[in-house]
Amino acid sequence: MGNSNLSVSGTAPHPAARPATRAFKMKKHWNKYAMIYIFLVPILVHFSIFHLFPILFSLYITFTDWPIIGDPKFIGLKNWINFFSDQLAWKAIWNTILFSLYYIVPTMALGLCLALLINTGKRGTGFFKGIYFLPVVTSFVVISGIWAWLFKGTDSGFVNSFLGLFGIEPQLFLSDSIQAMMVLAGLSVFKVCGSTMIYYYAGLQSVPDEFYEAARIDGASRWHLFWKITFPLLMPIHFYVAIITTIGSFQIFDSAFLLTSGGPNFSTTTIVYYLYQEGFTSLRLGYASVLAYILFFIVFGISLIQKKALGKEVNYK
Amino acid sequence: MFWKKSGVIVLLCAFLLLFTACSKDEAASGGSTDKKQSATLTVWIHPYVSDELKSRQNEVFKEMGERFKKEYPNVKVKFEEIPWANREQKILTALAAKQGPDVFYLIPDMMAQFADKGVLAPIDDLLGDYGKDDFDKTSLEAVTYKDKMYGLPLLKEVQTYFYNTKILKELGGDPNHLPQTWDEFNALAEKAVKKGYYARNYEGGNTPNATLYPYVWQAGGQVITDDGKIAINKSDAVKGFELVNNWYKNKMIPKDSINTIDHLPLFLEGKSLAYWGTGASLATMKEKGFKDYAIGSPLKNKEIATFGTTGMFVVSGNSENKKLAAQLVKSMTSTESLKAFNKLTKYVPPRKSAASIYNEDKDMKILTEYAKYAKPGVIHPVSRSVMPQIQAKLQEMMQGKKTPQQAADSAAKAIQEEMNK
Repeated sequence: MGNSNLSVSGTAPHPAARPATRAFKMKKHWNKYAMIYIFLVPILVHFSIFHLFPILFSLYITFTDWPIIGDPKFIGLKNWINFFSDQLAWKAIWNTILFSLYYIVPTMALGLCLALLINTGKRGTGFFKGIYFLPVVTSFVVISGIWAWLFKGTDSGFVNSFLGLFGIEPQLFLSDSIQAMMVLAGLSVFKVCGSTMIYYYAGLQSVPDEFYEAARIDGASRWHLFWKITFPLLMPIHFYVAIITTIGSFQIFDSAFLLTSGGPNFSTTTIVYYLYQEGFTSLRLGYASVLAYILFFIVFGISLIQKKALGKEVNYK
Repeated sequence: MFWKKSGVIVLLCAFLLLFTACSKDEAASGGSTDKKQSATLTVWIHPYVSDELKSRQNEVFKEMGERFKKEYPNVKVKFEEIPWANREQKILTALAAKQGPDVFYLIPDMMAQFADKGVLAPIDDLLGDYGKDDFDKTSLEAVTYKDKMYGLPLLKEVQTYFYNTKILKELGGDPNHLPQTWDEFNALAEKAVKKGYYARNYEGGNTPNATLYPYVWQAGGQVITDDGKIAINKSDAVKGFELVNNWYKNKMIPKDSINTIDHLPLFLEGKSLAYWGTGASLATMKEKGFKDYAIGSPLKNKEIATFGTTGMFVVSGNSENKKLAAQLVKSMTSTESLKAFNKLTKYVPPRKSAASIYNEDKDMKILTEYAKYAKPGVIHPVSRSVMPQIQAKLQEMMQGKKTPQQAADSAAKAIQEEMNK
């Protein structure tokens, strides 16, 4: 009981006793947390090599002219200054924002709707759970191929043939600057909403039934049950899904690369696609790293805003 | 005694100096070509054929390795297949890490970019006699940058017209007298549109190598001159922009031509008079059982010209055995090697002595004939990085946002900006 180094009178221990106390405390601390530190070592090593080092190295690269081969040539702030006058970079940022607008809300809404559908507990929901999740595990290349066929801009395209039944003129889709981005976003929503469905489904499992029972006794309609209980209680899920879909939307690359190659006229060139082109086609790794940092600042800023707006806890007591 | 000892030391020093000088000389030139030396050379290849033919491709490369081994019995040649997707990224990251292959495959615009960054070893002095006169002139131009050779040609591709003979006859054309000039083609194209057909494909999502440069060259223009001056907005070159614009405005090419990448199905479905394609398109036509076609020549306005890439094997600047690697490249592009490779892959062999492989194949014989008109693209360090910009200007023109001259001017501006970076 108690610390043997403390004097009975409560005065400070003798100075000579202090190191012993510190050593004792350290030993006690080590005994208590040794396993934690040991288990942390691998992840810290992994983090340092594969995350921290690349982050710091790419920051250094932003100040250099480096075509991947040879030694980086220090050029100071030139890459950063170039960014502000690079119209294509700003266009890529705007395109990415546009993509996010087309992508985030539909992905969340569709994910929530699908989760509500499979949460009914009726027979066969397990089957639909699998079906809705299928696009998530299907390769982007395969889905892009299917979408390219669906949205062919000629009369013989599948969607154009369908629209033709209603007398609607064939649309250009991937050859139209506005529609191409919408098709791209549609593809991404289709690919990802299965994941958001799973998050929402997990969230729905944690909403206590008593709330619904009490509300039903009070005469609440289904509409009210959803808007007054389900939706607010899913707020932590909304926050999480919003963050991950936002980050995902700013990292969009595959569909732009596979479906439109950033065109027509750069209308689907997103920031990551542009970064890739600058880094690996134009061999300007320094400038590509600047774009990566700009992307980081944007995503970080938006995540902070989202945290303020959506990160409130909802408790019903 | 002193002189005796000094003499020995001086002699030893001279011997050492001579020895190190020799080693330095060998190291600088990338090792020796002593036929008994042992080494391992790594070659990065790609899937040049479909999955079904992959085992035969492996055999062709294995034979290439064995052929080289006969000359250099102690050298091991290791072939590693790399997918086409993101290949430049893979090559560059490997070379940056001082790893990667001794020999790898490139096309001309990538070669110019890589050579400019010092990634490749010039091989003029390492080859010896490689049968220069046997290679066709344009293919050797394709492996040369700033008067230095960086590789030897493995294959040639040629883009030309394939006509649907049924539609052609319906329009009053003759499969034995196919259009030779822009005017002849456009006259036929007008008739096709009137009958509800497209005149040809146009895949605007592809690079300007396929969508613009052939027409610029046919009009007598250039993209960048041999001495590095921008010429894409000169009057001759602008005619190439105008040609594409007229095709699109007059509905001779499909509506989605702005950004599509595959119009072959339209041709196979019998909706288009002609298809601008390559030997690979021909293979697909045959595979799909499409037989009503005739192969026409690339067109002429001022001159006959087309695009056709030249695939080449190059030697990495990192290779510790550059001389050996260059000898391997020479062996892999010998007549025997080119015959085996091109016969399998259905490309045009760049050596005249290998052209006989298509003596029995009427279609490939025609394509081999047209290969002499094929230019390998624009060989300049910015040619690859500026392609998306030029493609975008062309798309803007087709969307009606720019006139052909404006599109050409902004393409010229984009090239200039790229050169200034």
